[in-house]
Amino acid sequence: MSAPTTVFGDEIFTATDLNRRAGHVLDEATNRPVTITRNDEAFALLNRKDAARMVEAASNAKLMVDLVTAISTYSLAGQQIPVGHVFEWLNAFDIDELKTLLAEVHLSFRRAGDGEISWDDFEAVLHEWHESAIAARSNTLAAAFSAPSEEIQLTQPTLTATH
Amino acid sequence: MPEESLAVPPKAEQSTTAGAVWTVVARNERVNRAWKDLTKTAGENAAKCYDYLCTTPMVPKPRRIFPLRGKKYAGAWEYEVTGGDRVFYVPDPKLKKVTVYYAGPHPEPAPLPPDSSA
Repeated sequence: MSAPTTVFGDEIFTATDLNRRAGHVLDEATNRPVTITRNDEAFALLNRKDAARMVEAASNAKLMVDLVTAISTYSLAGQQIPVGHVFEWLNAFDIDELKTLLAEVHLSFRRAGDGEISWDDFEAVLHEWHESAIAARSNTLAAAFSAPSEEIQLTQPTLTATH
Repeated sequence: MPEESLAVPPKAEQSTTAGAVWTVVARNERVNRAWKDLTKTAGENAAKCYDYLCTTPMVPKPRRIFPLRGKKYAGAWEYEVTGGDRVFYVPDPKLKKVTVYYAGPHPEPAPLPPDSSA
């Protein structure tokens, strides 16, 4: 399923139509947003899910622009993203990693926009990168991963462990 | 320090014995102690985590189970046990072995230097 490039389908009803043929108007609105006119005013009538999806798309488009702007303004210029910036955590990555991030995030953004995946899935990709940034900057995790380990025969999980 | 077998949460015992495919180990005793603490505070979720590590540790679930991005921990995975608890592990598909390096509260990033806001 591909995303519509226009919001409205030029299906225009008057407020009187809505009163007299509500079922028909709502049937049309089920398929695509329609316009209801009253005097000089115009209203959109659309499926609630579609409305929610449009809001999500707009919100995530803003996020995407902010992300790209942060990288182009700071990271590509060799500067640190300032503390307090919503994408300060990108400082955890070098340029190559940021290119990978952009490619992955952009792909998921396009797929969400085309309806192939949900916007939740898009947000999950960003969330996972953010979590990875936190991990990369964690002293606790660095210590855990550098803890010594003797090369011994690995032991299978046991059911006799204490609880 | 030798690697230790990861303690099995009570609710995971029955379900994992039959379907376990992967060997799950803790990096060391300290990690295993932290894991056991986690099984006490988040028993059911820890049990699910253990099941997962035993059977499908390399199957991602958006937001919850995913490979870490970036070079530093390439090959490592994060499992969000609860909102505030994490398990970090490295699966070895050739050996069918999962090594847990960290279990416990969400790690905090290192504090920024004082002049980093300039």
